[in-house]
Amino acid sequence: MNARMPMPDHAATHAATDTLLDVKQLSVIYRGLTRTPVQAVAGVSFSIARGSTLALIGESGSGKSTIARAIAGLGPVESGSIRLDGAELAGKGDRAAEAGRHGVQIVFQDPTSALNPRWPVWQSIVEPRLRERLKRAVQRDIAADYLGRVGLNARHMDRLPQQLSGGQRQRVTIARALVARPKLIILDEAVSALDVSVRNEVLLLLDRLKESEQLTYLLISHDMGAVAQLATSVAVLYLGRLVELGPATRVIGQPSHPYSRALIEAVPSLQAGARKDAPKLSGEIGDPAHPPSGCRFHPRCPFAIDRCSNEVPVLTPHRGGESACHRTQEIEAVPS
Amino acid sequence: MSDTTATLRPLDPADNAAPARSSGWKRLLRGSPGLWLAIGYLLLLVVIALFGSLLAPYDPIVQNIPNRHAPFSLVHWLGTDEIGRDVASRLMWGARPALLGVVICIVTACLVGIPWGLAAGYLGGRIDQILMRIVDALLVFPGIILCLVLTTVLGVSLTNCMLALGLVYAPSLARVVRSGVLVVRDREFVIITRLYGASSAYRMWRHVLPNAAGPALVKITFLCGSAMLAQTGLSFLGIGIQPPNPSWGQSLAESFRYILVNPGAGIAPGVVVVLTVLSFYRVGDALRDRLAIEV
Repeated sequence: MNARMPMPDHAATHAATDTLLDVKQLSVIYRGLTRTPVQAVAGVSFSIARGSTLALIGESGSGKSTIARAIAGLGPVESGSIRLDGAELAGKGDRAAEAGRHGVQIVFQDPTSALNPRWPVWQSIVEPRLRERLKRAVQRDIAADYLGRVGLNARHMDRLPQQLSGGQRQRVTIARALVARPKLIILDEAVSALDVSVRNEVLLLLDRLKESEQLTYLLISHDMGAVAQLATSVAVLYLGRLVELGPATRVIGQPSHPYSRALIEAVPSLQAGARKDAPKLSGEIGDPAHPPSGCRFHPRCPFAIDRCSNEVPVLTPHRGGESACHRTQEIEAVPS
Repeated sequence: MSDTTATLRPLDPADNAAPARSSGWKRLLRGSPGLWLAIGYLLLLVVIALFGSLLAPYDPIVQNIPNRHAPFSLVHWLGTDEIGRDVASRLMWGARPALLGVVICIVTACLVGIPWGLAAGYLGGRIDQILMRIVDALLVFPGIILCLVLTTVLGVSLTNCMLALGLVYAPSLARVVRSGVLVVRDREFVIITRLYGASSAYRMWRHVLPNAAGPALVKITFLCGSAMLAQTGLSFLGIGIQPPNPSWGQSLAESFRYILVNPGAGIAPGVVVVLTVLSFYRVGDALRDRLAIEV
């Protein structure tokens, strides 16, 4: 159970020893003053090898962003451990400051609300180093340097966020994340709000930065295109539980869990004459306050049997990855 | 810059966007003579409030009963009132307590209302609940009644009256500040600073307050107008500035009885008050439009 995240074949031996982020049995429960506690994440474990990209995918409400926020220390953690390079991030105290100090940064979906509208670009970019009390000229030099690294230039330094396009703003928030010299960047739907052409540019930039800045990514996305382009491995979440985990090419190409199949086949294809008889995902994602018994996916699963509503399936090794389904072997025979 | 970035050309067209920050303000002022008039009128009032005692052609208290109810003329620009005092001079002298009253009222409202709203919005949870229930309780009282009660307790004077009015306005300002804070508090640019080890005081001062100040500023401008109106109303009722000292509300109240004999003495202070209130509201409108553009 230690090395849960299978690596791409060529890197398997090396990566097994070089884990950057190790999340074990992470649970998150949201408690309100009046409403019933909601378990948004239930015992999720995964790890990310240094230099790789793990994509967390799933519908809205599956707990992807909750996991992202828990790792960054911006959201609650009920139980479990989050270790980055051996340092425990799920402890007590100011977890966000700890996460930042140990090298976690996050890039959010909406760059407009991620930048102070009254601050010129350079000021936002150097903010991660606010505790160093650097001289203004030094700060501006740093800002110019990092603007260059994300494909902007010193010309943009004194602009306000509203004088930049969406793509430029997202480049600025990426530059700001880089200034903190992170080991892990959480991309929380970081390209989902961008126009298609800009989105591709930013994906290329992220790919390039991963090499030049020696980064590891946790990609939170519902955008299969972005996942296919960046991810080395994919973890599929449903209602706070991991249902499938594996190398990106395998999970996207031949998903084995019924939910992964439905999720990936729900992506519209541009190809003419694309299959129209694919099993569609019907209904809504369940209510995390009252999750279904057994396998949480069983009420929507076309393959569900009695056992699925009684017994919680565990992740078991399957074709280079892991899948949490009682009928993995049988479903295997059904063409997806 | 490094080689890798040279190949990354920014493709967004907004590169040529004008970097000028003040353009919004200029545009706003250029298109609206009404706003210019309002600002000019308020500036004029400030000048008169400061130097009115020197500029006024007559002593505002000296009576001249044989010459009472004089119509508008070159000698008495706005005529005289029921005991022969120069209406224009009384209005000029009255500008100082009128504006001073507004200032006292607004400062009180800000000193109480802004920390109140900040605490409620930023601390949240139980504290927010308690503070906002108090606001609700105060808001259901008719303001003028609350003000009358407070003035009775504190003693009748301009300062007490406007202090009381400030306290009456504080809850509504607190509410606006709180909602401004709530909008900004959970924005990503604020919460991400937790990763940089920033304190909540830093977040409050550097990020939340500057971005939440807009609606509060608009509210304060509108409160200035309301304070002016309420102050006139309270003086009209005999609370506030005491005779024979000149005040606009009192001039209105006195001339009101002779409105059929000498309408000029009543109309002049009425027009002044209405213009003042409208000017405050006009500036508030402009601020609101401007801030809506920016954020």
